[in-house]
Amino acid sequence: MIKNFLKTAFRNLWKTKGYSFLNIFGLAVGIAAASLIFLWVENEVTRNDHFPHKKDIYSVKSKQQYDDVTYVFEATQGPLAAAIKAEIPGIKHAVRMANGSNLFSVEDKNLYQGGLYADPEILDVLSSTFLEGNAHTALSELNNIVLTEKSAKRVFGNIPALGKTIRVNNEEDYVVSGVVKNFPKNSSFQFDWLIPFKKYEAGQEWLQSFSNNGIQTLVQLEPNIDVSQVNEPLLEFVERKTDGQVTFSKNFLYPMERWNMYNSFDKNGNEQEGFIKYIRLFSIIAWVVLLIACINFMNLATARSEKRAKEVGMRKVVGASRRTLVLQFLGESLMYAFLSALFAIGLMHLSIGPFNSLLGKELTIDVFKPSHLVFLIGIILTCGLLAGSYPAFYLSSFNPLKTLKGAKQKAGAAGFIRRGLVILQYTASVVLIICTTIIYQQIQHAKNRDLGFEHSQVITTWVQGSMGQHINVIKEQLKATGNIEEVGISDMNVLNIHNNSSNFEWEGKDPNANILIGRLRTDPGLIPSLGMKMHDGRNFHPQYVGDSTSLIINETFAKMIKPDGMVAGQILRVSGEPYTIRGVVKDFVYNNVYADPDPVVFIPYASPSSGIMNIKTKAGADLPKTISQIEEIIKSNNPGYPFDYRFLDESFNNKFYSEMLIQKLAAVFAILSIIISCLGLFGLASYSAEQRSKEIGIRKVLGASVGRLIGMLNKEFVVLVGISCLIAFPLAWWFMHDWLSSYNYRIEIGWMVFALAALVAVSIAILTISSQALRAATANPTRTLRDE
Amino acid sequence: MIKITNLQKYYRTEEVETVALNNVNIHVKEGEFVAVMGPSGCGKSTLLNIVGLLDDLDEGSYLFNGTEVAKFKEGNRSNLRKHNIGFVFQSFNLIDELTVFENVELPLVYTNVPAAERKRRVEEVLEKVQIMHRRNHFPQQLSGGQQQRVAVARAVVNNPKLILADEPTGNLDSSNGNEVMHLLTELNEAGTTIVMVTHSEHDAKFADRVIRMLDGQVIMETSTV
Repeated sequence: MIKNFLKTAFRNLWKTKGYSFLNIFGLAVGIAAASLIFLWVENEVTRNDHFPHKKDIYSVKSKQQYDDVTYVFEATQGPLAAAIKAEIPGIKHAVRMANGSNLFSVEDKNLYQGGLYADPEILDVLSSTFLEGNAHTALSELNNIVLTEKSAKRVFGNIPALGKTIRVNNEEDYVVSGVVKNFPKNSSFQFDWLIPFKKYEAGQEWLQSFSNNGIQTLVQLEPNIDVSQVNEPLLEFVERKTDGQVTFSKNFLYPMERWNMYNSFDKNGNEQEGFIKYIRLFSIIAWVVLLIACINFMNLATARSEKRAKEVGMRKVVGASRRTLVLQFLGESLMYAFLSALFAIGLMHLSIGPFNSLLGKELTIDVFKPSHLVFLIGIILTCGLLAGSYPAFYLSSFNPLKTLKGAKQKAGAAGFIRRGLVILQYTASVVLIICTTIIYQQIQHAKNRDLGFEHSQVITTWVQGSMGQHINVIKEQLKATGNIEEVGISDMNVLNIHNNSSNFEWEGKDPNANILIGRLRTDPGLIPSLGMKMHDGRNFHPQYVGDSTSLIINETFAKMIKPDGMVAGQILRVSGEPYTIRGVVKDFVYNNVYADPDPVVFIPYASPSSGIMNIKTKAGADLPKTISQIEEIIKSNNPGYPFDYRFLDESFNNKFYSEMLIQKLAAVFAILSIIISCLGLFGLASYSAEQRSKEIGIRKVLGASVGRLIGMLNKEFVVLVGISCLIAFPLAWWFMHDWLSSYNYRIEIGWMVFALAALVAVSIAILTISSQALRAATANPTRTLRDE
Repeated sequence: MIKITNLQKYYRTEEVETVALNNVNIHVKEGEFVAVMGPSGCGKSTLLNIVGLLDDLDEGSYLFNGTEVAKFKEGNRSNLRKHNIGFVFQSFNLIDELTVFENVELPLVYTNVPAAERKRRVEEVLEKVQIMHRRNHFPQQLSGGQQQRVAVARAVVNNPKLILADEPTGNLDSSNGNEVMHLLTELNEAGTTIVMVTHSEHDAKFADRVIRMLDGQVIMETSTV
């Protein structure tokens, strides 16, 4: 029987190649889209699955309250790890970690590698697999360095690295004590090297105090320990250890299992959804696109039902029960789903490259990986059964008597459902069009806001090696090229100020207020190099003449001191020491580009040993030439270090990563859903034209113009698209209103977006339908009428 | 074999109720060849469909081989149909996507006859209707007469006790029509009961008995033997 069904199905498919293609292609696009999203979701949710102790691994976070806002930081205290391991039961390992980027020199090879300074137990916590050396001795000596396989290859090529020497930062030699296997690309731990934390600790007094937070602490619990047993003593741990002296930091353990998907906290310090929001959103959208594709199948199958009616009737007459017919049609739709899945695999291979660059991932397609195979089979069954169920029950319900007499089946319920499904498809498409447009507008709105500084034509490079000693010479030489307008130094990227403290006092300050102020060490060149403007007072003098105890604050901070922000000359106490506010810089946007700026203070950076050099090039300067001039000057003053640079524009654009990702994905899905919906509409329109061919013939004979006939055929579907718009508008408004509410600096949703979406949807629908309508309307009426 | 008593059949629309069959009483014995005649719209096809369990009756009794089948549900009807009744239609009603062989095989598929047995029986019946040489052709590739011979083959492949033929020669020229009538006669002679609806006096002569209908009622029964 199955053979008979398959034969009928294949012959039907072949007989109506055009429609079969519409069905299979539409469904394949839907399956490919859903599968790509599946690959992405799988990659995200299995991120740290390669760590055998994943369930027991935690990072220590620090919850700090300042006035009415509670911040959660990753930075913890230097002595914390050893103390909690000794005093809180259930902690197997507590590891101190700090990120670093070092220059490696081997023979004539110089290259930067990023890595971690960490206590030796990190090798146990992360269960690193050693390709050379072993975990017991790898980080036992101060000058040991463990490389990853990838880094070892980069530095030493294909020869064994164990025992080899690397010169680090042109200062010290390290001996390679081990080579570990790379972690998968989606691991939270991506480092090129590990160096004992003690090396980092040396000479850094602040690490000995519970008052300073600056490094990360990684914890592995004993198996089967309830984390709340550890969190309870950990919360007030620092306060107890310092006899009530340090109260600002309430520490707690945050599980590795939630690092990737959550790791976001509201202003009360409570965990909120992080990346999982996007994962969920796009999983839903992918299923919606798949549903739209399934709807095509349903619509085309029921629209074409008359073609199958005689077969259904005859099968019933010769003894087919309704059950066998339902099974037959379900089997057919499963076959279509299977063919679509095969097609989808091809489409995925074509699109995985662009998809990867869109997400910044390296996803791979492996059909035979068990999870992928299960997903693929699942999606075939889901699509086959979902898309096939309605047509199967509809077709099998035909009255054999009527079908054999050639009577038309009542289109009533089926027609109604078909129209409903078209409305559903277009509603989803219009919602996506509106959302994509609003997200785009919001990003542009934030990008084009008055940032308070100029980020274009600014080249940034690290201050390193001996650059600090020659900083004034470098600046002078750069300016002497004639292509550089100004050079400014700051201890971190001005867009990401993550050093802050609350030890500022001023006259009139509420004694109970506890305000967190951002700190940026800058030289006098920063303000002019970034085109910042003064609200009051002045910039630091060159060479800080007379400015050793001067500070510059931003407008937000100044307005906290005095409503008009005119506070130049006032005294600001930092940990009790008096400083003079020399100037108030106009507010500039940093950290959160959608928020109002937080208070920040610029502190003189007299002899910069590290940080960022911001080089503003002159308008119209020949960029490649200027960059090579900069490289030459910096290299001559800092030999042995490769020159590495990036544009401040890039850092600025990275601020929009999440939003840009959502926008791009939403745009892709909007386009896909429109394409699939159009395929369906094209099929339906051509059937409609075919079914109404006699009517069209008669109307033509009676004098209807081609234009009028096209209008008549369009009307039927344009009304449906119009209804879709009416349903989609409030839905999209609601989604976007909710999305925008999380941004302080946001756009107002305007009516133009809705009008534009409606125009796009209706125009595309008309174009799609008109091609079929034109064919029907220009057909020779004598032919269609003679058929009768 | 067939005993229909006081059969009433109505067609209802929202406003009008039309009596399609009014107080029809019919008795067909096993092995009989009965022709039903009458003008268009007299209810003869409706009667045939009720006999074939393709349509419901509104009132009355229908005994098929002594079993009351008037109130049978669809499942039982389908079961009874596939084991006992073969159909031949004026418009052949072959499935376009299936070959001659596959069309004829279909009733055997639904009665779960094993493949080897199916092949044997289909070939046998194709030989009988002399269409074996066209077994792998599709219906569109055959003439009307050939298509109807395939339809007859399909109707008899399951060895039904009863064949219902609705104007089997209506779409055929006289020579092809005669061929089909001879085929039906042969089947009847081999023991199959046949009820045939026809407009053709010529075809009716092949039957043992003619039932004449007018306006949903049986008005006359005549024997041709």
